[in-house]
Amino acid sequence: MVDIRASGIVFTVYLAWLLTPLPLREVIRRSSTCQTNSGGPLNNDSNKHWLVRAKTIKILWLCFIAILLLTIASELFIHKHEYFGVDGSFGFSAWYGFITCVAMVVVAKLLGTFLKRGEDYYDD
Amino acid sequence: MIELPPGWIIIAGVLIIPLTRGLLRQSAILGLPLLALAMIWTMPTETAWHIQFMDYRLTLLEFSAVGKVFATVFALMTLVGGLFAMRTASTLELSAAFLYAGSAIGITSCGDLITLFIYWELMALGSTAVVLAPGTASAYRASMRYLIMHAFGGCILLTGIVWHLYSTGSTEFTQLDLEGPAQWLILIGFLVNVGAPPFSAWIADAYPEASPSGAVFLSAFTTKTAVFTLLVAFPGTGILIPIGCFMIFYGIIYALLENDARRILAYSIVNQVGFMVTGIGIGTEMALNGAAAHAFAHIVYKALLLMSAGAVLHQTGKRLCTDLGGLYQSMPITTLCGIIGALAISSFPFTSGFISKSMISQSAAYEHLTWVWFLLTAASAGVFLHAGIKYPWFVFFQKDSGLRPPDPPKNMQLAMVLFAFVCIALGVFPQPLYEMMPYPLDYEPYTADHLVTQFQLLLFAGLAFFVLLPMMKRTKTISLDVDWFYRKLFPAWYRRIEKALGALYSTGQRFIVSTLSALLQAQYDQEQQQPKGYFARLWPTETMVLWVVGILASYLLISYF
Repeated sequence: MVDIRASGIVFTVYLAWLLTPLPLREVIRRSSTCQTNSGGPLNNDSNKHWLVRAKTIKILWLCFIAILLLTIASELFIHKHEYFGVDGSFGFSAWYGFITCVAMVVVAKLLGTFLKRGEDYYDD
Repeated sequence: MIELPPGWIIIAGVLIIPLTRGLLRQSAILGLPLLALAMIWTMPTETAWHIQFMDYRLTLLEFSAVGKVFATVFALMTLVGGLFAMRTASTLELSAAFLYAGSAIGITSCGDLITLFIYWELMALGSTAVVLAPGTASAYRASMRYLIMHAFGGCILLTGIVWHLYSTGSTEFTQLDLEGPAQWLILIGFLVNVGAPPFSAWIADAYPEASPSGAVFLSAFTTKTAVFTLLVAFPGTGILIPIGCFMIFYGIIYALLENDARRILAYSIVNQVGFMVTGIGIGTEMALNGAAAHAFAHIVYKALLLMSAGAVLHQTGKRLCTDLGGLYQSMPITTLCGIIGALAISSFPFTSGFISKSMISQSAAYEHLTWVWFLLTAASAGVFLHAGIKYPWFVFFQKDSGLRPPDPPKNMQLAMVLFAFVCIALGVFPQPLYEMMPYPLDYEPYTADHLVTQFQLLLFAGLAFFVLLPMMKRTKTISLDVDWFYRKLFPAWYRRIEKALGALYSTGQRFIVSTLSALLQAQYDQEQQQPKGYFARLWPTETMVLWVVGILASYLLISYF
């Protein structure tokens, strides 16, 4: 019973995710760039593809947050196997996934300062 | 059914493709892989074909269960890759791709190390020609580096095989124990092709230089054939676990730094193959099943991703993330297929990656390999970061680049849709794939526990991507790798040595010339305007008479003794 309910929630989440993640990121990009747009985003918004209009993006952004909360909440309804102790803690996958990803991006950025070269580095 | 190795059917394409045109060629491109697939599946399990070659018994045909898994996906890949390539690829590329694919299938059905080595080298030649096929200067240079790397790996493998033959007397291609240098050399030979450190750079160096369709073929065969050979010869070899984990994170870090869309995908090949190598290192039945299943799923979604990137390259002529973006508006099918491939590589539930990769991390949990499990889990999140989101985001969304290319030709679309379908179908109905596995498998991927934790892991990885987007800004750069040694340092040394030798030569030459001329000058009297030497002052006839007298006198003397 619990399995069915949890799977139901998860499947809804999945469907919603299929539609959401793509333009969502546009929110962050825009939040950092819309000040530099001379006309402001509202002036020419209706000319844009519906996916990148400010209103759509806002809705999708909210959906994403709701889905994130849902994935955490659905953990209440399931029984988790634990193999190493800490992996059984509440919301382990969520915080572990987030923190390791941040770590990987930061490490990549640091290594990038040593490893990055111009595109024509190997052209003689 | 005639019992020939199915790989030979594909290799026959090397002769057929250059000699045919139009419809005949297209039916060969699609018909040969279909025929090979039929042969693989109708062949009785006890089929074997041995021949005697000098003192050795060669096994040209012998299918194990795991060989059949790889042969099936290789033939499927040849079919769909051929469909994708047939209108645009050059004759050279298509023939080379068939040689390459056919010898890869040959490896899956051979039973001895000598036959394996012959196929191994044919593969190296075929794949080099695929890299070379676009005919640009950069493709030529990349293909030569690629060839040298594989010739190097092949030499190590050959040394290992000969040593192994000499010490054990057995040519059989079966599980080998790491008991001496011979087996280590064979292992290293395989590891060069799998892209293990320090030989990872060749993948990201060569593959993005190939044509849009060439990269699709390249992504499938070399590394996965090496995975197959490791799976047969070295299951449960502990050293493979750290090697695999290194490859996983190498792939993630370099893909995060990369700007070229297809190079991102090339780095993620190393990353995904790292999962398989780790699974082979763990070596339990479940881990080996996981590695084989993951290789199958990986070939399909990686080809799908490279087809979508290839379609973009074919339609826009651009390959850098900084030049792309906003393509979802005019290339909806390519975008959708790219996203499905990206979800599959990230092991999203209801895609092929979810039902295969989880077996590897699950077996790490069963074996209580703590740090391996934590690394694999972090890496699963990292795959979503570097390939699952980064690739589709920077190619199809991101900023609006202003490019409005249409979707690619129908055959390319069909190839992408077919593989997108396979990605989803395997994810939803994993049983047929599970039944092909070499060991009995009792694994249920769709438990509530697994679904919830996987969603948490991936979605929060996605959140990390959005939050860190300013840090992910693409720069027009490449990243240094081990190939720096043979592309920059060694050539620099060579140039320096060449310069030093050149300097030595020219100083030596100058010294000799000046000494000689000084010697000549000393023998010339400037005031008298004549040479100082006695003979030089005489007439040539006088000198001659003098010499003739000398010769006759010595002749006289000699005749006395």
